Amino acid sequence: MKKWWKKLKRRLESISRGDQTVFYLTWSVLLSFGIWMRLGCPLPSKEMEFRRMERTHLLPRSEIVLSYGTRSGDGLQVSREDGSVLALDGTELYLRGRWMAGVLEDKAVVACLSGNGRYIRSFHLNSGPSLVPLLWRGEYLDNVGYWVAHGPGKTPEGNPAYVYNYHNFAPFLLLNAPEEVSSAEITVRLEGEECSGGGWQLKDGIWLLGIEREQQLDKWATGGTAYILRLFREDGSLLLEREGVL
Amino acid sequence: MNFDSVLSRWLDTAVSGIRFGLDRKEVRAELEGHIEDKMADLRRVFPDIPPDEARDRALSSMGNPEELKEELARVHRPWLGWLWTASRYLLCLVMLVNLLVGYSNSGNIEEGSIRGSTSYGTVHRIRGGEKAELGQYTFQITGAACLEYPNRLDREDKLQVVLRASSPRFWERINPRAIVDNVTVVGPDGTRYAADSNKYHDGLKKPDPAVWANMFSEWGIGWREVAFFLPAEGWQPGDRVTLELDSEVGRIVLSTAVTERVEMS
Repeated sequence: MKKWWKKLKRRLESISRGDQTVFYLTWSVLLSFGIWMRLGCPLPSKEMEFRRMERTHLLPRSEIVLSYGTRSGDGLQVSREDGSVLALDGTELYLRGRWMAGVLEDKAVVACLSGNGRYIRSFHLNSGPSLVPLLWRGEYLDNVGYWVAHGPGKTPEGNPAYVYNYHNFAPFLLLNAPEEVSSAEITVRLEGEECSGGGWQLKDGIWLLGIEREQQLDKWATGGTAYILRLFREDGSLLLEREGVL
Repeated sequence: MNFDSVLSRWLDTAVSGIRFGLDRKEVRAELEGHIEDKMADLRRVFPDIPPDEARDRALSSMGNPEELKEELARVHRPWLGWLWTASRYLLCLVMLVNLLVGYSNSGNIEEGSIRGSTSYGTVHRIRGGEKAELGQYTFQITGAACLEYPNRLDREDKLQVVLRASSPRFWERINPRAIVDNVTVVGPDGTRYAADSNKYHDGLKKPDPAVWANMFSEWGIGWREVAFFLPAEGWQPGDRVTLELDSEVGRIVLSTAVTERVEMS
């Protein structure tokens, strides 16, 4: 190795500086290519990553309706890997991982683009409002989302302080919601217990619903889990109630 | 003014137009060598010449340092020197990152590995198998054999059929689940088997009847092979096995005759 290194050094010294530059740059490019391949060929934009996931999973190209952001400079996210989406009411909703979703005529495609949990899955959509759970690989409902309420408050000891309350929730995308919907509610029946949650409008026809539970959540197995979706008008009257199975 | 400071000032002026530091240092040393050679020549020809005069005459023979400065600045353009230096540092940095990335990925068998295979790789490779296009991928059956275990009572004979998906977009190697989730294997007796992977269906109900699929059979730049294993009961050489891949972007059907019998240890 030492002999080889000395020989290489001697040869490099015998060529012009321009040729040496070409040599160094060529090897830099080749090695950088190797690094890029070893890192799983990352692409420059999240949309390109999502499109690649669609193609490598033999899924048709969808219209993107949910795209994570990383705008938070407030440092409230639990992990750097967490993406966020901004609801129309200004609430910043964090999702563990970087989630994107797209829709086709009768299908929705949901993908998590980060870490070892890189995952994409398609769901059949009903006519009218449809629920799409954001599931971890392995098909479990979990506290994938959270939002943070913060402001002046008191510590458990009663001292005044600036308080941050993290609200974890299991998220569901609601697609094709009617225009008149002003608020939404979802109820899931799990092992005899009913858990409910509200939602936030992300854009026209698209809501993010979340079921909060105070206790630490174990993973909630899906497949046969019954749900009730209720959509309300601005005056509080019920616009739609739908029962189904996740 | 002493000898050294006059010489030093002359040299500094002459090389001050060279903006690349390493070149400036080398040219300065070269000029200094020339001047010392000239002074040595003068002292050899005129042994009684005073050192100051030898220096002055040597310097004057070298010309005006201001003119020399402009000429040297024109010849020694800095960008190549800077590029050369930058390329050296870049290569060092890339080598270091390569080592770090290689080390950090060493535990991962598939993500980030350019080429590899697992122990359930292709046992008997076949050439010229049927091909079909789906999405951006070309699918081809690249392996088929009947695997026999004469020395293993705990193992039943099985047929192995290997499906390869390749794409010119080498950065878009197909996800193995896209194959395993969508393939139905039709055995020689017409039995239809859903594909199953012990990794993917961990904790979930397995399809029935199912064939076991090794998602990480073999892979390389822009291609991947998935091996399917189905019961070999009643198999005769030349029996055909069919793979039906029914995905959301289309459907393809490939079949092959299984002619080889391979004894496994």
